Amino acid sequence: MSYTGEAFLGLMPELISTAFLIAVLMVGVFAERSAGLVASLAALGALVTFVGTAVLLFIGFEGEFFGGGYVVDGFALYFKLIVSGSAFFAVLAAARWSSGTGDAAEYLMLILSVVLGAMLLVSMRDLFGIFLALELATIPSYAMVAFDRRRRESAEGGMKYLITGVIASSILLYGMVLIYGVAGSAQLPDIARAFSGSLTPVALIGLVLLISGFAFKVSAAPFHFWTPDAYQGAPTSAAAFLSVAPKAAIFGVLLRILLEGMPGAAPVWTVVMAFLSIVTMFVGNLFALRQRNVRRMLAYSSVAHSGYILAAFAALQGDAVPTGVQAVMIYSAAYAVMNMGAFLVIDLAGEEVKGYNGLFRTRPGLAISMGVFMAALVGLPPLSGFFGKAWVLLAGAQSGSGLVYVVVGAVVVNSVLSVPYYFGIIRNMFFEEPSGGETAGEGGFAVEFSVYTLAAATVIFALIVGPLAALAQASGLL
Amino acid sequence: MTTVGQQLIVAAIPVLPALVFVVLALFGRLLKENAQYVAILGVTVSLVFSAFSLYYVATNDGTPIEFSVPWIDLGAGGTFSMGIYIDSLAAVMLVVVCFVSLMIQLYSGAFMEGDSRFSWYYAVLNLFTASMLGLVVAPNFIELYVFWELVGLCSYLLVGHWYEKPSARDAAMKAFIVTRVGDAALFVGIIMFWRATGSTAFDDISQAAQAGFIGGSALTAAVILVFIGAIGKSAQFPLHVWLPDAMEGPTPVSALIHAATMVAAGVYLVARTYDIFVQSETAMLTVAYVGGFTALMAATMALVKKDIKRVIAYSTVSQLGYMMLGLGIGQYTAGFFHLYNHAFFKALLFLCAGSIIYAMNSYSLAEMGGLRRRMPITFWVMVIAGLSLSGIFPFAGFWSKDAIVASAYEEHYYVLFGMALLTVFLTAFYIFRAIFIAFTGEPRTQAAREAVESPGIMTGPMMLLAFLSIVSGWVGIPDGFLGLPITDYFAEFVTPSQFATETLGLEAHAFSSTLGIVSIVVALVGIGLAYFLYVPKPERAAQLARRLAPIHTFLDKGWYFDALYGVVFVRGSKALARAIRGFDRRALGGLVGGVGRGAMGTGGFLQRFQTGGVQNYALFIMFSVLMIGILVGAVAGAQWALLVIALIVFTTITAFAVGAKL
Amino acid sequence: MILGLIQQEMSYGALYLYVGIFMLLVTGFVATVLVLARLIAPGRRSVAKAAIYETGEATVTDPWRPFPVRYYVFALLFLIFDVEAAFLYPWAVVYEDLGLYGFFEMVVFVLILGVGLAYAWKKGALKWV
Repeated sequence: MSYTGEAFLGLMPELISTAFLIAVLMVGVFAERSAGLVASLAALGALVTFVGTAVLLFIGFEGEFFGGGYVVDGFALYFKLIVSGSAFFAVLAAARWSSGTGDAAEYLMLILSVVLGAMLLVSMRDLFGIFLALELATIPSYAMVAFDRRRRESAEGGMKYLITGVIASSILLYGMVLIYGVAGSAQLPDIARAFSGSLTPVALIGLVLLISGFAFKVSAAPFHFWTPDAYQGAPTSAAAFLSVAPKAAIFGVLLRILLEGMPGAAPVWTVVMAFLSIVTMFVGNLFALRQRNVRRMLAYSSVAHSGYILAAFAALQGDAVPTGVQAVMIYSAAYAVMNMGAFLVIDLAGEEVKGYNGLFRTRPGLAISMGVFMAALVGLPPLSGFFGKAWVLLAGAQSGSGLVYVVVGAVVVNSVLSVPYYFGIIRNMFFEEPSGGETAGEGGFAVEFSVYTLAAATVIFALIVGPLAALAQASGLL
Repeated sequence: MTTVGQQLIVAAIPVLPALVFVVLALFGRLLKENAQYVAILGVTVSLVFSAFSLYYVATNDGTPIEFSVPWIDLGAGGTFSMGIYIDSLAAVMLVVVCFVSLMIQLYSGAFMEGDSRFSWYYAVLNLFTASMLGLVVAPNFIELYVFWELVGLCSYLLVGHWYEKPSARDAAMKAFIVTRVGDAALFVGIIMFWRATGSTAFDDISQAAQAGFIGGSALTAAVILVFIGAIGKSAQFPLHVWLPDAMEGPTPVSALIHAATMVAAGVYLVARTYDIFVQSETAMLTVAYVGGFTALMAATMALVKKDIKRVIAYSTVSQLGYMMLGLGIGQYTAGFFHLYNHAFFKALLFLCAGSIIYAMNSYSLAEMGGLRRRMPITFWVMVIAGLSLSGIFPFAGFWSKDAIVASAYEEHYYVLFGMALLTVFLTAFYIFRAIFIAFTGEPRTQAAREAVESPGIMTGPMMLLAFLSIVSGWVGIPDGFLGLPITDYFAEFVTPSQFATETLGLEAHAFSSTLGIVSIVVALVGIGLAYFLYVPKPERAAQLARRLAPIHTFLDKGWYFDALYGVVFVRGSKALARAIRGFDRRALGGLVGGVGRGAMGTGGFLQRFQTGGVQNYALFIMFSVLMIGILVGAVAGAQWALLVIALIVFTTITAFAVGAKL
Repeated sequence: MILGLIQQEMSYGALYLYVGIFMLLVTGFVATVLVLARLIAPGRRSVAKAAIYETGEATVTDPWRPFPVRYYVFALLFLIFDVEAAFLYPWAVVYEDLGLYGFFEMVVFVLILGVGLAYAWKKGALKWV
C-alpha cells in the first residue's frame, strides 16, 4: 500500500492533468456557452499541474515505479515544469481564439493531452513506454496543427505533419524493436549492458533508426521540412506550444536514452549528433534569412535552435557530460520563455513582416517585448538565450574533442549569421513608420499578460539561471 | 575594506542610469521633453559617486574597491560571480564616462529639441551610459561580456534613431553585425580561458596563466580572440567599416560613442586585461601593429572626406589606433592616458560639428565657409580641440600622444614610429583642413550666411570641454619636465601591475625634448600645409585633388573596404540564401517530381496531399536515414559495409512501400 | 580479437539461419501450390466468374472512391469497446487476487472509456443522418 501511495504521489502531476483533461472535455460538451469556463478550467489545470510538479521538486521526491520502467527524479520533474508552464501560457493565448472556433474544449483538451504525453515521456525508462508516451504527445499535436481547418495552410500543414510524423514514428519504433532484440529487454539499464563493448550491426541499425526518429521529432535537419509547413499552418498558440514543450520533453528523454541506455555507444552517437547539429544550425539559419513571413521565419529559427541544443549532445563525452546535460536543460528552459513569447506576439501583430512596421510607435510595450525576444533568440546577454548558448559552448569547450570544437565553431558562426533576420524585425518595429492599415490588434488581457510575463522572464533569466543550474546539477541524471 | 554604504554607492554608479532608462521607457510619454531633467539628475549623481570612488581609490594608494556575489555555480566548472572592481584604471574611466555623458545630455536638450522620440532618445542614452559603466566596473569576462553586448545594442538603437533616413537604418544594422563578429570572437576567447583556467575573472586568469595553466599558442590564440573583440568595438582594421557609417546617428550620440562609450570599450578591454596580454609577445605585437596601421590608414581616409562628421569619425579610428599602438608596445599608462584626453577633445569636436549642423542643417563642408564671424565660440573651441588633437604643446593631446610616439622610438619600433609620426602630420592636416574650409573664406551658401551661434545650453558644455581639452593633460606632465619641479600624477596613479612591468621589462625613459619638438614641428607643418592649400587660394586644393585623382578616389572610398566586404560577404550570403530559398519549397517538392502523381482517386481536397509533396518528404526521410546510417557505419568501422547494405535494402523497400501506398 | 568478432557474428547468423530456412519453406510452399493449381485446375473462364463478388449484389460503382466519414467514426467507437474487452478479459482472470484496488482501477479505466463514449454521443456521432 505504501508503494501505491508513493506511486500516487509521484504520478500526481500526471493524474492532475488527466483529471483536468477529462473535466475540460466534459464541461465543454455538456455545458452550453462554456468557452470561458473551459478556458479557465484548462488554465487552472496547467497551473495546478505546474504547482504539483514544483512541490515534488521542492520536497526532493524521487522514486521508481512499474518495475523500474517509470522514474520520477529531478531531471524528469525539471522538464515537466517546462512542459506544464508553457502549457499554461498556451492555454491563456488560446483562450480567446479557440472560443471563436466553437470547439474550444477540444482544442484545450488537446493541449492538455500533449502535456500529459510529454510529462510521461520524460519519466519513462522503458523503450515501449517511451514510444507510447511519445505518441500520446504527438498524435494530439497533429490535430492541433490542423485545428484551424478552414484555413488551407492549416489543413495542409497538419496533413503533411501527420503523414511524415507517422513514418518517423514507425522508423523510431523499428529502431526500438531492433534494440530490444539485441538487448533482450526494453529497459534502459539492460540496454546499457548490451551496448557496451563492440556493437553488432543490428544494434547499430537500431541506433541509426532510433536517432533518425528522434531527429525528426525535434525537427533536426535533414528531417526538418515538416516544421515550417506545420508551424505556418498551425494556430499561433499551437505553434508556440509545440515548438517548446514537446520538444523540450523529447530532448529530455533522448538525453535519458543516450546516457542511461547507451553510454557505451557514445563514441558513435556523439558523432551523429555533431553532424546533425551542424547541418541543422546552418539549414535553419540560412532558410530563415530570407523569409518574409514571421511565422515561417520563427519555424526555421526553431530548427536552428534545435541545432544549438544538439551541439550540447555532441559534447556529451568525457568530463563534459554534466555540463552538457546542464546545457540541454538550461537551453530548453531559456528557449521555452523566449520562443513562446515570440510566437505569441505573432498572435497580436500578425505574421507579415510589414505588419511590424512602426510597432514601437503604435504599441511600444509590445514592440519592446518582441525586441527582447528577438535579442534573446540572437543570444544577446543578459537575456535568456545567451545562457543557453553559453552553456552549450562551455560544454563544447570542456569535451576536449576536435570534432566538438568544429561544432562549437559552427555555433559561433551561426550566432552571427542569425543576427540579420532577428534584427530585421527589430528594425521594422523601431526604425519604420507605421505602414497604416493593419495595426496590431488588442489580443485581450490573457495574451498580453502572457507576452509581458514571458518578456519579463526572458529578462530576469539572468537571475534565475543560477538556481536553474543548481537544479540541473542536482537533477540526478549521472 | 569597503563598508556596505560605500558598496551601495559604487553599485549605484551603473544602476542609476539604468533606472533612468526604466523610468523613461515607462513614463516617457508623460514626461515628454522633461525627460532630460530626470536623465541629467541621474547621471549627475553617478558622476558625483564616480568622483567619490576616484577619491577613495586615490587616497588609499590605489587599493581597489572590490566585492562580488556568487551568481552561477557550475559545480566542477567553478563559480561565476557578479561584482564590482574599481581600481585606478576603472575609477578614471568612470569619471570620464559620467562626465562626457553629462555634457552630452545637457547639450542634447537643445540639439534634439522637437524630436518626435525625445524621451526614448534620452532613455537609450542612459542605458548606453549604464552599460558602459557596468562594463568598466566588471571584474570578470562574463559580466564584461554582458555589458559589452548591451553597449552594442544601445548603439544600434541610437545610430538608427533618425530612421526616416534609410541610410541610418542600414548603418545601425551594419554597426551591429560588424561588431558582433568581434563579439563572437571575444566570447570564444572567454570560453578558451575558462576551459584552461576554470575561471573568468581577470585576476584568476592572469595568475593561472602565470602558473602555466594556459600558455604558448593556446594563450596567444585566446588573447588574440579577445583582441578581435576589441578590434570590433574599437573599430580597428579590418573591422573599422562600421564607425564612419555610424555617423548617421544624431551628432551628440556620435560624440558619446566616440569619446566615452562603445569605441573606448575596446581599448579599455585591452587595458583591463593587460596582465594577460603581456604574457603573449605575439599578441602584444599584433596589438601594436594593428593599432599603428589603423592609425595611419584611417588618417589617410580622413584627408579627403567632404562630410565634417566623417572627418572626425575617421579621426577617431586613427586615434584609437594610437591607443592600441601605445598599449601594444607596453606603454600602458600612455595608451590609457590618450584614451582619457581623447575623450574630452573628441567629444568637443563632435559637439562643434553638431553646433554647425544645428546652425545650418548640413554636414557638407562644401556648403559651409566663413562661419568664423557667425559662430565665434564654436570656431574658437574647435580650434582648441583641433590643436589638442594635433598634439600641439601645451594642449592636452600633446602629452599623451607624444608619450606614445616617443616610446615607439625609444623602444626601437622604428616602423611603428614612422607610421605614428606620419599620422601626426596627417592628423594636423585633416583636422585643420576641415576647420579652414568650414570657418574661413566666404560663406558658400545662404545657410552659411545666415548661421547663428548655438544657444548657451550647447555652448556651455562645449566651453567646459574646451577648457578640459587644454588642461586635462596637465595631470600627466612627465616628471621633471624641462627641469621644472613637476610630478606626473597620472603615471603615478594609473600604473600597470608590477607583474606587467616586470614581464615587459621596460626601462623608464626621461622625457625627450628632441622627440617632442620633432612631433610638434611635424604637426605644425601639417597645419601650415592645410593653411597653404585652403586659406589664401582654395583653388590650390582642388587642383591638387584633380592631379591626384586616382589616389583621391581611393582614399575617398575608404580604400574600397566597403566594396570588398559588400562583394564577399553581403552578396555572397545573399546568393547563398537565395539558392537555398529555392530549396525551401520548390526543389524538395520536385525532387522526385510526380512519382505516382495522380495515381489515385478524384477526391479534390485530399488529392493534393496524396501526390507530390508529402510523398517526396517521405522519400527524403528515407534518404536522410540512409545518410545517418552511412555516417554511423563510417564511425563504427569494421561492420560498415554490412550496415550500409542493410540500410539500402531497408530504404528501398520502404520507399517503394510509401510510393505505392500514397 | 577479430576472429572472436567473426565467431560472434557467426552465432548470430546461425540464429537467423532458422528464419531464413523458414522463409524459404514458406515461399516454396506458396509457389508450389500456385503452380500446381495452375496446372491442375481446368481453365474455363466466363464473365460471371470474373465479376467482383459483393455478397450476391451486382456492383454499381467503382469501389475506389471516398467513403462517408461516418463509417470511420463508427469504427472508432467500436474500438472503445474492443479495447475495453481486451483489457477486461485478462483482468477478469486475476481480479480476485487484485482485490479492491484492482476493482477500482478497472472502474476508473471503464469510466475514462465511458467519457469518450459520452463525448461522442453528445456530439451526435451515434446518429446516422
